[in-house]
Amino acid sequence: MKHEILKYSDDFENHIDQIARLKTINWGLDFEVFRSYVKWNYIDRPHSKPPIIYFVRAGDEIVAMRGAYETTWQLKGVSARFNALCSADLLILEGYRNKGIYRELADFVMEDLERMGVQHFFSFNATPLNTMISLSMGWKSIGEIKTVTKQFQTGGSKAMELAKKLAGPYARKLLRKTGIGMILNRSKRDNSQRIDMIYHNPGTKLPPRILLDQKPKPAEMALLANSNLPENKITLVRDEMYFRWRYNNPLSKYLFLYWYDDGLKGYLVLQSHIYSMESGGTHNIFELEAADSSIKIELIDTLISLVNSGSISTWANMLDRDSYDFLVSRGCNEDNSIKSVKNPPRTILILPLGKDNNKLEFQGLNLLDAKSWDYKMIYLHDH
Amino acid sequence: MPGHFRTKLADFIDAKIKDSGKSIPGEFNDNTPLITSGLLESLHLLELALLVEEEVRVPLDLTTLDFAKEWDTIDRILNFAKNYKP
Repeated sequence: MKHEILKYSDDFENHIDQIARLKTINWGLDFEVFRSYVKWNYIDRPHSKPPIIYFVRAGDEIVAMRGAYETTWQLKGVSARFNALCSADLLILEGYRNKGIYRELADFVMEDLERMGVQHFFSFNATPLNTMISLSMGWKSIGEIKTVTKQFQTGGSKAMELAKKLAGPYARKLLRKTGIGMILNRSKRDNSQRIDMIYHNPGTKLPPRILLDQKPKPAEMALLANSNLPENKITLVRDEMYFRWRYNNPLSKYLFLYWYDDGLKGYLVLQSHIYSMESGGTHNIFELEAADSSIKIELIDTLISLVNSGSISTWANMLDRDSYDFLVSRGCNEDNSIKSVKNPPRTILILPLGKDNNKLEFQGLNLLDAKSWDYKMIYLHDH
Repeated sequence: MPGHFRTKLADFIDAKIKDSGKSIPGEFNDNTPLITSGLLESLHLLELALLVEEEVRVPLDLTTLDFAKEWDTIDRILNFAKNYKP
C-alpha cells in the first residue's frame, strides 16, 4: 500500500474537517461534535503555539493521524515556566491497521520533534493498548494513577456493570461494527440528563456557603488555584484565560460547586462524559481546590448528597490526606486491583527526546519521578 | 516447560508477521530483533504480552518493563519468562 506522511502546523485550521472526519469514521459520532471538539482542543487552547498534525495519506484519502498540542507548566515561587508538547488523537482507520503504519508514523513524529529541538513529548490520555505500544517504543511511565470510586447501586447500574464485564476488552471493536454511534448518542441523552437532574433537583438543599452552578467562574477560580499551588510540584498553568477555555469541551458536561466566605474559598467541579459507553453514569471529581481541607470535605460531602445514581470517581493522587480519608469514610474504594496485561495501570507517559535524554528535569525536579508532579484530572483533554 | 513455550512463541511470531503482510527474513533466528526492527507490529504486542503473562503465571505490570530491551528477540522473551519475578 502506497502512502505518505504529511506534517501541518501553521495552516492547522484548514485541516479541522479532515481530523473530525477521521474521528467520525472511527467512533461513529456526529461530525459537527468532533469538529467543535477539534477546534476546542487544538485551536482555542490558550498559552499554546500552533498545534502540529501528522497525516498519513493513501491515494486521496487520509487514513491515519497523530496530533500534538502545547501546554505550559509552572512551579510555585519560580518565574520560569516550561512548555511541553502533548500527544493527542492517534487514529488509524480499521482497514489500515497492522500494516506498519503505526510504527512508521511514530518514528516520523519522533524524528521530526527531535529535529525541532523538542526535549520531551507527553501523553496524558493513553488507552491501555496505547500505553503498552508506547512503552515498547521508548516512552516512560511516570507512576501509577490510582482512582477512588463510590458506586451508587441501583438496578440500572448493576445491569451496566454486568454488561461491561460480559462485553470484555473487545466490546468497543464489536460495538463499532454493530453501531457504536447509536449507543453513544443514546448515552449523550442519559449522561446529559444525569447532570441536569442534579442541578435542577427541586429538593436540593445546599449548605449556606455553597452555590451550585453550571458555569465556571474563571477569574475567581484562577485566583484561588494560584494561591494554593503546592510546594515542589510541577503544575499546569491555570489562569483566567485557561479557565475561560477549559470548560467549553463539547464532549463533557460539568457542574460547579462553589464555597464562598468573603470571596471564593473553594470549588469542586464534577465532570461527566456526554458520549461514552464505558463511563455512562460515571461522574468525576475533576477539580477540587480550597483554602483548606475542611472546605474540601464540605464540598465533597455536599456532592455525595446530590448524586444518587451511577458513580463518583476521582484520582487518589490529587487528594490531600483528609479529603481522601473522608471519601473512604463515605463509601469510596481505591482501586487496588492487581495490575496485569488485561488490567493495566493508568499512567502518564513521557517520551524523552534528543541526545541528552537522560537529563529530564525542571528546576532540579526529575520529570520521571511521580513525586515531582501535581496530578490533576483536568490535564485530560478528552474530559 | 521452556521448549513448549519456545515453540508456542515462535509460532505466534511467525503467524503475526505473516498476518501483517510481511515475509519472514531468510536469516531469521532467536536473536532477530522483533520490536526495534518493526518486524512485529505494535498492535500485536498486547497479544504477545498475554502469551507471556500466561507463561509466567503471574500478572505483569507493563509499566515496569522496557519492551524494546527485554522483549526484542525470541531469546530475550524466553529469558524474561524464565527469570521473571514480580
